[in-house]
Amino acid sequence: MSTRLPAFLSEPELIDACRKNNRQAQHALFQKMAGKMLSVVKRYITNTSEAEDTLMEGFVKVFAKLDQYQGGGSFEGWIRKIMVNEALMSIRKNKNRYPLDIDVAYDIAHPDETLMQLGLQEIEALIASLPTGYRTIFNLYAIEGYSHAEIADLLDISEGTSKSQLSRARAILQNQLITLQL
Amino acid sequence: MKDWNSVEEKWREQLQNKSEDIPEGLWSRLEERLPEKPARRFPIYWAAAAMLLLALGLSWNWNPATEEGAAEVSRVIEKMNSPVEKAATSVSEPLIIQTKATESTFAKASIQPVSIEESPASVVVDSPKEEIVATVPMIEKKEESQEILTVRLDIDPIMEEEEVKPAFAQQKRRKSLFGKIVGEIRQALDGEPVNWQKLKEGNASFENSIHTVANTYVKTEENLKRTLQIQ
Repeated sequence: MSTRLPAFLSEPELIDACRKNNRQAQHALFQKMAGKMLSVVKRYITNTSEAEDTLMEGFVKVFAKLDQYQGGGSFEGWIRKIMVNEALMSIRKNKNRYPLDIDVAYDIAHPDETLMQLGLQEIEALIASLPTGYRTIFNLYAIEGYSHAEIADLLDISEGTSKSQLSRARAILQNQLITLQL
Repeated sequence: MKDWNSVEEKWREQLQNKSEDIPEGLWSRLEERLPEKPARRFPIYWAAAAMLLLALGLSWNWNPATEEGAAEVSRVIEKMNSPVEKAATSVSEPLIIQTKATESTFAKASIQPVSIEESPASVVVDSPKEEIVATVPMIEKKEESQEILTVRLDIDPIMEEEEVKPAFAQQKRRKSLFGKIVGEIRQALDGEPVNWQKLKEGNASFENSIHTVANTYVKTEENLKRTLQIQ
């Protein structure tokens, strides 16, 4: 995008202008955050078109709910949470079921050393190879930093299910190293 | 040997600041979904109510209906059978005699003569402008109609403020306090008994008002006589 936008001196100034439905300010906020947020959404929704739709829906909600942002925490973190919620809603809407409870948790205490050496693109490819349910829980726990209790609340599952799904996701990632020949 | 927490922490650091390229036209598509106009934070009916309150407040300050009728000087004199006409006919009488006669009349009516003794002489002598103001309308009215004569005098600085007030306020007061007082004074001049206490009821500034009205009445009488003498 080559459009020159007015420079907003500070983030609070930009937020205030967006609250007043200033279109230029909204455009500026979109340009500032959209790239990072699309990356977040794509970790949950691998389909590009669907991810972009989810991103737009997320920004509509961001602008609509700006009055609720009190300024207590990071503004980027607040937007990121909205995007994650929007991605989860999109997954539900498309009837991608989360995996059912599994009784046996895969206990892989020590991951392969190779996992530490992976580059950004390889990590993304590895995560994207996970089935939707496992990928969702792995992203929420390992990348976004949610607790199992929060994940259980978000996905309407039990904490035990969240934990077992994470173990399963880790096991699959370990196996994928060989499959993908990373 | 590393554990999963270490691996995931490293991945988190790498992914945290990852940014994708935004495809062309995505903002335009988003803009179509955004609401056209901002939500009205101050609805139009609230604005209308605020304007109405403001207008009421301004009009209240602009027209303070004080009970002090001290600056009220407009009055209507019916020429037929009025004391003014009687005074006007006796143009040969000395001015000072008429002043005393008026003073005694008020004294008989049990009014505290606070300023009556001083005001007529000093105001009439010191205010030649007032004579002009009083004379001009009298001549015009005389030519146009023999029925009603309206005299307007400026006797003190308060009058200048009063003049900018809307006409309906003066009219209202003339009908209530000022009109009643004039009526009673005329009744007293005609030698009829007057119930001054009745006028005092509900009028805290009655005494100020009665003095002002009395001064105005006397001055008007004097001015009329002078005008007629000149003529």
